Amino acid sequence: MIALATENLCVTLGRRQILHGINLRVFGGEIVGILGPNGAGKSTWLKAVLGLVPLSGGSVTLSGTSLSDLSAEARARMVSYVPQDREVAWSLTVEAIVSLGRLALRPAFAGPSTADSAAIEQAMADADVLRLRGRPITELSGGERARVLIARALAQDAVVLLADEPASGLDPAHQLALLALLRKKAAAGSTVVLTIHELHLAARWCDRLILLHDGRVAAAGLPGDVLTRDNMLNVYGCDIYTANSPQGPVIIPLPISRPEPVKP
Amino acid sequence: MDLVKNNAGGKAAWVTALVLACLPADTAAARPENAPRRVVSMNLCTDQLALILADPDQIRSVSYVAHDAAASVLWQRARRHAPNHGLAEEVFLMQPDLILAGAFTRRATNDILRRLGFRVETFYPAQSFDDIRRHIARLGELLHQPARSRRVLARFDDELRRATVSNRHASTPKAALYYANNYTSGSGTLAADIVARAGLRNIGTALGLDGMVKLPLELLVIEAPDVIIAEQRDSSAAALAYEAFSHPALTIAAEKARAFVRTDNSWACGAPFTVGAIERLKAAAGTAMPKAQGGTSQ
Amino acid sequence: MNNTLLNTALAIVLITAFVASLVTGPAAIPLSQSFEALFGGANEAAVLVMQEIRLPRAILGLLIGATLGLTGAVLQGYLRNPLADPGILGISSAAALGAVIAIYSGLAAMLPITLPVAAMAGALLAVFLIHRLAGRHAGTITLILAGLAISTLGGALTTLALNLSPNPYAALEIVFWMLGSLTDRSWLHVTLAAPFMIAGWFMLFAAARALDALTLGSDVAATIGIDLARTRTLIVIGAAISVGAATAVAGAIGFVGLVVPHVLRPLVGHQPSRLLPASALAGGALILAADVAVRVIAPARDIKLGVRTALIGAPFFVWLVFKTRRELV
Repeated sequence: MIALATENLCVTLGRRQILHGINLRVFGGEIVGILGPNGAGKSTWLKAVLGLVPLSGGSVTLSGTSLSDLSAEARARMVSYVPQDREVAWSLTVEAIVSLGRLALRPAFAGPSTADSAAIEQAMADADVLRLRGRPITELSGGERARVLIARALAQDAVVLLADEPASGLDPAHQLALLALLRKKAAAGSTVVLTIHELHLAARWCDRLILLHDGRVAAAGLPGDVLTRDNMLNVYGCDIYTANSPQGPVIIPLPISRPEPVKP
Repeated sequence: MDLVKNNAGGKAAWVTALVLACLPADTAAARPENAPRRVVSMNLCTDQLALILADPDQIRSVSYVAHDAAASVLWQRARRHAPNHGLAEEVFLMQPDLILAGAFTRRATNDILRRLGFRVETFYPAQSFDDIRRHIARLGELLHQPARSRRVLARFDDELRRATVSNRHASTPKAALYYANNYTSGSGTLAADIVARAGLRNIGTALGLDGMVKLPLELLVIEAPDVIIAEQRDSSAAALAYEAFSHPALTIAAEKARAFVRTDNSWACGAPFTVGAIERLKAAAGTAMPKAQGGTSQ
Repeated sequence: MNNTLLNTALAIVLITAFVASLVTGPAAIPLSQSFEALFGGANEAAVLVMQEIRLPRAILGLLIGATLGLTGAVLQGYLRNPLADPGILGISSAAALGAVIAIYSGLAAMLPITLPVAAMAGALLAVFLIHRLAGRHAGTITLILAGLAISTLGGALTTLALNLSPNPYAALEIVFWMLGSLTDRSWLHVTLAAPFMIAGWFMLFAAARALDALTLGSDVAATIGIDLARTRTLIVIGAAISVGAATAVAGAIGFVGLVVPHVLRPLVGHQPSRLLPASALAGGALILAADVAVRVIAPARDIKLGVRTALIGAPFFVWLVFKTRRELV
C-alpha cells in the first residue's frame, strides 16, 4: 500500500526553484531515508508533503487522498512531523509538550480524552521519557529534548511520521536508540520518512534510501544500490569505504584518495 | 438648564458708555509733552485697560488676541490699532516708548526688550477688584492720564458698590466655578471675588483651595452647588480639556442646580467692565435684589 | 486544579481592587453610604458620584486592564517572544493616533462611534505593520525595533495632530494620549469601548489552543492541525479592536501587557493558553489598583495612570531585556 507519494513535485521559494519534479512513493510500514548534501531539497520535500510550503507544480497524495483535499485536522491524523529545529518557545513540562500532539484532535477547550491520555502515555513510554514527564523541557539535555519531541509526534498517532534530521546532534548511543525506536514503530505498522546525513545509520536502519541532488532524485532504492561509490562521488564529491563488522557492512565517507588526473 | 449665553448687550453698553464718557471730553492737546505716544501692549488685559485709559493716538499696537471678539470685550476699539503677536522682533520694529506686558507671559520677550533699552511695564493678573483699582491707577500714571483714570475709577467704585451683594448668611447659595481640564478658582482669584460679590459662596474657597487648582468632578458633584459657572468654551475645535463639561454627572448636577452659567470674556481680565460679570451672574443666579426692595438688607 | 486555584485567587484580588476603586475618591463618602448609593440611596449627590463617576470609571479600569493583560499574553504567545506588548509594539500609540484624529477633527463629537473605530483602525494598521516588518519568526531585536519605529511614528504624528489643532488646550493633551488616564470617564466611554473590547476577548480566547501549539513553532503547529491563517486573523483583529477601543477612551497605558503575563507565566506552568484568563484577571486588578493609587497619593494632581504603570513597568522591562540577552548568549 502506498502511504505517501509525490508526483512531479515542484517547489519554488522566492525566485529559486528548490525541487524540480520529484516522483517518489513510500509504502506503508517502511522506513525511508532521504540523503543528499545540504541544500539538496530534503527539508523542502518534507515540508511540501506536509503542506507547509506552496507547490509550484505536481501533487502530494497521502494514503490515496490528495493533500489539497485534506483539512488541517485530517492531515494531522495522517502525518506527523518532527522539525530539524528543536527550539521550544516556553518552558513547558515534558508531559505538556507531548500532550500537544493530541491538541487539535479534540474539541476546543475540552480536556484530553481517555484515548488521548493513553496515546500520550504510550508515546512517552516508547520514547523513554516517562521519567522526565514533570521536568521543564528547557532543563533537558539535547538528547532528551530530541526524544521528547519525537514522543510529541508519536502521540499524534498518525500513520506517517516525517522527521527532519532526527539523529543530528545526538551522541551515538542516543542515535542508535532513536533509530531502534523508529524501527519498532515501523514494525508496528507506521511509515517513517527521515532525512539523515549519517551514511552508516542510513545503510543499517532504513529499508530504502532516496538520494537528492540539486532538487532532483539522483538515486533511489535499497541502501546497497544507492550508497555506491559513483553516487557518492557524483552527489557529495567524496569517496566511501565499506568495512565489514559483525553486524553487517559499515559505510564510512572518505576524502577522494586518487590523485587528480594531471592535464597535459 | 438656565443658560446665560448672550451678554453682548451689556458689553456694548459699556463700550458705548466709555466712548461717550472719555473721548469727547479729553483731547490730545491736554496731555503733557513727555506722555508716551507709541504704546505697545502685548497682553489682552493690559490691552483693554490701555484702550480705556489712553488716548487712541497713544496706542501703537495691541495684542492680536484683543482683536478676537471671543476673547476681548473691547475688540471693536482694539481693531483700530495694529495687532502684535508678542514677538520681540515685531515689537522692536514698532519702536515703542512704553511696552505693557503680563507678568507671567512671554518673560523671555520682556527680558530681551528690556535689554534692548525699551521700557517694559508688567502687570500681574488682577486677583481681586482691589487689584483692578490699583491697575487702573498705575496705568493712568504710566500713560499720563490722571484725570481720565480718576474719572474711570470713580465710576468703577460707584458701580462696584452698587453691584456688590453685601448680605451674606448661612443660606447663601453655593456656586461652583468649573473650567477646562477640571480647574476651579479658589481664594485669591478674581473669579472668586466676582462670585462672592454676586452674593454666592464659592465652593473652591469653602474647600480651602487657593488660586487656580484642579477640582475633581466628584467633589463638585458631592457639594451639590446651587449655581454652576462653567468656562465659556471655544466650540470651534474639540479638546479633551472640555470632556468634563459633557460628563453626565455634570449634566445631571447642572439640571439639579438653580442655574448653569457660562463665563464670558469680561471674566478673563480684571477691568472696569468686569463689574458687568457680577451683575449678569446675579441675574442668572437670582441673587439680585429687586430694585424696589433694595433696602431690605440688615 | 492548581490552575483553578490561581484563577480564583486572581478573581478575588480583582474584585477587591474593583471595590477599592469604588470607595476611593476625593469626595469623602462613608463606606456604608457609598454602597447604598450604588443602588440608589437618599443622598442624591452621593448617588450621582457613585453611579455616574466611580462605577463607570471602575468598570472601564477593569475592562481596559483585562484587555491589556490578555492582549499582552496573546501577543507574547503568538510571537513567541516575552517582550511583546501592545505598548512596546506600537499598537497603543497607533490607536492613540487614530483616536486623536477622530477627536480633534471634531468627528467624534458629531458621531461618537468614530472614536473607537478610528482607534481600532490605527491599531489594526500597527499590527499589520508589525507583521510586515518583523514577520512571524521575529527575533527579539527585530520585534523591538519594529515596535519602536511604529510607536515613535505614532507618537510624532499624534503630537503633530495635536499641535495643528486650533484649540489651545490640545497641544497639552499629548500627556493623556501617551500615558493614559481614567479620570472622569463616563458611561458614554463604557458603551463606546466595552462591546469592542469584549468582542476582541472572544477572538483572542478562541486562539488560545493555537498558542499552545505555537510553542513548538508554526510548522509543527500547522501539522498538529492548527489553522494558522485563522489564528492570525483572530489575533490580529482581536488585538486591534480590543486595544484600539481601550486606547480610544483611556489613552495608551503601557507595560501592563508586558509585566502581567511575564509574572504569571511560571504560575501556569508556562502554558500560553492557561496564561490568558490569568493575565486578563491580573491586568484588570493591576489597572484598578494603579487607579486607586493615583487617587490616593495625589488626588488633586490627576497623575496620569500610565505614570504609575510605567514606574513599575519600565524597570521591569530593563530587567527583562537583560535576562533575554543572557539567554541569547
